[in-house]
Amino acid sequence: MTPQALSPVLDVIDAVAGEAFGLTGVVEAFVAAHLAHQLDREPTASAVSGLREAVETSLRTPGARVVGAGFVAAAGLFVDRPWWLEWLVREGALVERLEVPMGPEQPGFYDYTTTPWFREPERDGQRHVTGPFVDYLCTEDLTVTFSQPVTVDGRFVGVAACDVRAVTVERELLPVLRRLEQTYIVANDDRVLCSNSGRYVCGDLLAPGAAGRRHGLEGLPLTIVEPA
Amino acid sequence: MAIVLGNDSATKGVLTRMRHYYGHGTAAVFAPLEPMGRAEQVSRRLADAIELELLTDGAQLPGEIELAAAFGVATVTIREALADLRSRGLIRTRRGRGGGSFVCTPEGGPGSLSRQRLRERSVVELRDMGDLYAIVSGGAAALAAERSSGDDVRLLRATYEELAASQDAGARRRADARFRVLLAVAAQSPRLYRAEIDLQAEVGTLLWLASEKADGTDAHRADLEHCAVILEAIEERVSERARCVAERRVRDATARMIEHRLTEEEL
Repeated sequence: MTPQALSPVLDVIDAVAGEAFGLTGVVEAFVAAHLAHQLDREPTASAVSGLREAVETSLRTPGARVVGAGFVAAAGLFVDRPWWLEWLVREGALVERLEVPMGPEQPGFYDYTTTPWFREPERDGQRHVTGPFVDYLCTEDLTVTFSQPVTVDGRFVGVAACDVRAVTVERELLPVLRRLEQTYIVANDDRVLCSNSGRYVCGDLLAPGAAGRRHGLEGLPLTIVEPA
Repeated sequence: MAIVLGNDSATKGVLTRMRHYYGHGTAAVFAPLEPMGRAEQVSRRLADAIELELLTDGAQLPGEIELAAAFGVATVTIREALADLRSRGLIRTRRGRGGGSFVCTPEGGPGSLSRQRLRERSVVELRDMGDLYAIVSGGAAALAAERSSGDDVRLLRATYEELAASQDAGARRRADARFRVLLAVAAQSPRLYRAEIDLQAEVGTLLWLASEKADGTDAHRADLEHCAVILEAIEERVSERARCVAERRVRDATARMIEHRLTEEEL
């Protein structure tokens, strides 16, 4: 396929990733500003409690693709809350703060520091796209998570992240994909994000040998794949 | 047709309509509602989880507002359910700062609850519940074998290790609950995930109650072995094997549950 044929697909991916990483950038800037010079003074979780105002408008914009966004603190960052998520979710016309069990002693506690959307940005300092995966922490739906590390005074303090439902991506990508020959858009480990084939649907893994020509995307861990 | 329901013509009318709808595509729409009140349903769900030690001794329950949101009921319903649990000694409530409701695991394990819950169901019902759970578990395992990522497999393995190493029944049930949920997540299916959660609440509870007797026996070792094989099949992406063993696992547990129910009847 020529780059020209692929350009409408790239436009949609640019728009989705641009919105998502635009918002993680807002979260990062907020957290960096509120934690600057605070790290030696035993910051508490209240330092980031104003995040809602910073992201609410974006989450409430009609047609917004992002359904949830926030800051996920490195374990032990806050003295009063060893684990902390300042996470805002759109629920209909409202934006609500996500309440999840916040300690290993609580039922349903979930150690988020081992998830790829947290671990990978911590490891390599890069932006990451995780999924699609069934997000049982928040949306309970097939979700794509965009995340980036947040550093303050050179120290990793957590990740800024946001969620986009897989169906939202599909709704925009399918119309442009349908005009192309068989094409798969895959994330990280050859997991299909969207395709115009009935054999490979969102969430499937490409079988070994199914991939032909690959078109990498600059600055994004997504690949457009033609069948073998 | 010799169903006699007294002279209440209204009741008869309802019965007739139900028969009309059953067997049609709209059956589920007009299926009978749970006969229990909502507060009773909430208190039963929490009591089961406490007796099974899915909620551990001393753990703090979420606040009334969060519980109301989680169960989709009003806060007064939650208050009613919590009052019931309190009166049965299953939770303790502390007021003020640092207050809340805390789990009190009853002494002596879930034996009496087990008898009561199992007696409420007929053998045919128990088998039927087990059949559905087996199919969902098998389906989730098969899809997980096709679709799981390296991360999914690592999490499943860690949870399996927890399950194998757990020393008491409570820890084992918590690990098992997580193992089953992670399988559904690895299947990449939101619907299977929800089905697993619903079935765990309804059938999983009964299976665990009945598995007490299997502790330390060959049946228990066989169950662990099944988990190991499911995990291996997922790692090697052999989906039919994963399906088959995951189904077998639930069917074996269902048979144990039914045997348990039959023994209870003799006592």
